[in-house]
Amino acid sequence: MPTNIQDRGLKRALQQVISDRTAGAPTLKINEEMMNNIILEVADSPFATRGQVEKRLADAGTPAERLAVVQKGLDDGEAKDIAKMLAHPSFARMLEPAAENFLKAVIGAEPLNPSLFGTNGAAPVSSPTITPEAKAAVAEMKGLIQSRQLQKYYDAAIGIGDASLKDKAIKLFEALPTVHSATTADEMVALGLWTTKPRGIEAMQTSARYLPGRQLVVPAKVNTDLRSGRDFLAWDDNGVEALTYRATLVSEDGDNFMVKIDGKDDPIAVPKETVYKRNQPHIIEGKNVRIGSKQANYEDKFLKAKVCEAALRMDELVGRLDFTKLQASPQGGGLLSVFGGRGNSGEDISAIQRKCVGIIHDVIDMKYRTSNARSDPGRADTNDAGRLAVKGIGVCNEQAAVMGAMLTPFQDLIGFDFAMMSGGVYRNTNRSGSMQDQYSTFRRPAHGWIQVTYRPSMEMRIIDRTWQQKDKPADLAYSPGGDRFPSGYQGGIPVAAIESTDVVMDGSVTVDTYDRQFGTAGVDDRTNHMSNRDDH
Amino acid sequence: MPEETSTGLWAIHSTKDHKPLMRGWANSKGEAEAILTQLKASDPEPEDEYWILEMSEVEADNFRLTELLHDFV
Repeated sequence: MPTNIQDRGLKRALQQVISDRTAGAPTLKINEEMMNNIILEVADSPFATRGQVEKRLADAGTPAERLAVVQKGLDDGEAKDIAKMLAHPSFARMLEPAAENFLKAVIGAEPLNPSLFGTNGAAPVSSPTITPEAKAAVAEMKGLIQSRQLQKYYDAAIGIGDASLKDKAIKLFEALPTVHSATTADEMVALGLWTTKPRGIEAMQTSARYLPGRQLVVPAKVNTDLRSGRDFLAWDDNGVEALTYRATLVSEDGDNFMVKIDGKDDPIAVPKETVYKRNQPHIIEGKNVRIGSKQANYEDKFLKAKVCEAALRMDELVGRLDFTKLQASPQGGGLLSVFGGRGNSGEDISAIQRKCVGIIHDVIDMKYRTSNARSDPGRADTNDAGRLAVKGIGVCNEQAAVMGAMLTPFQDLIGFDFAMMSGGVYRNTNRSGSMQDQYSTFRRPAHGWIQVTYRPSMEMRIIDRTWQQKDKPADLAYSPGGDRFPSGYQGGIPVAAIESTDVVMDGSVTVDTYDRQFGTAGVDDRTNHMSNRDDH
Repeated sequence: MPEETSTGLWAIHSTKDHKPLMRGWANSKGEAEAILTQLKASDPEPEDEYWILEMSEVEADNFRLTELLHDFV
């Protein structure tokens, strides 16, 4: 069904939206945020610069105000093109209700429906209702975990176990509280999910994201020859301009960060905007979490059950999370606040956080798409996040999306940022090729996973469900033995803006990274670095 | 394919060291088998296992995008 879009700008914008969506979660719905380029093209006019239009749209506080800005720039050709897009069944199927309504309203095909618009174009979420029924359901689930009976309830609820238990199981899951990204630690305690909340959680939430010593992914001139051992993705004067994870933030200089690349003595200047683009977390909040063509529904009985199960299983660990332990301590003649490095008081925090995330990983029961998995009784092939988490099937991006949905309620409580990653693999690269040829091959998106950055340590690790790696340091995960390259973020998900507390480069706070690459002699240092080891 | 309607789209998968990947997709089983043969011949190191599987509706939705992209441009 050829559909010729006449307006060149609109055609480009549409291509971008579709490409972003294709590179993103497999069956992501197009929301209003993803349509920004299309909206800008329409709102643009000979009488207003692109910058002016962007500012007007940014200043517009409500969907109705945005609509007015867009309609002011709409011409007849654009209206016809939008009508063509909306008439295309495949495109229409991809649109979220809010996005579809907005486009239709732009061309006057239907009135704007404000009830469809919330945070990031999604319906707003409300705080969990702390009722006696919800608390009783939490207590019952806690008992089932302790008595190891919970799996029987899941099995019964999805129709593969004790049929007489089915109604009871479903009733229990439905009675559980809705826990999502806006749920506070106090509410977790009030609901009975946690005995106590982490101490000093507010300090963690406002800790710096960019501080001396943190690991970064940045572009640099590096060696992309997979045969180069310890030099792989290290600086090379004759190398290829490529992304590398072998980068450490050193200082700032105006609009640039100074970044140390392994293999080069002097730090290089990298524009701050570039650093932010590659290292800021995704904004995955509220109902802005999509699995396939559906938003993750935190009110769904199965997702409620899995989120509550994870919360209950990490209760003891959460009680040990104490961010107030991260006190200033003298280091190397100066006073540094030491966050998270091995061999100091931060060690326990990061280890506890990672165990909590490991629990979230482990409560999900998903298998990769094989014919055996499909024939496994009760294993669902769906885009319903909760049902997938109970017993589902999916390729890398689908499993990462479910993991993302499960991580979201915990990120501000446990202390971590995350991004949905899209990247290549090394193993199918012809290693006799030139550096450029090898890079062109292994940067090609072939795999999806989650990159987690713990706060306040800013320690970068990965979770890869389909490869059964729930907590792998980025250094190992992105090494040749790790077999994955962080080509970029999945498209279509907004990236967080920089907050006033994010950048602290005055040296008052640092990450103790001496051991990240070089560490304890003979244990963590370069002699034992992943590039010198053959066990991964 | 239980609980699924036929989509007519096929995915090609492979795995090595328990690291599965989806390698490509095709409009028919025959085309998928041809891609599979090509991958087996071109992979620098053979994978432990290769297989093809008809896509579910959920998977297929993603790949309709590519078709859509061709439609619009």
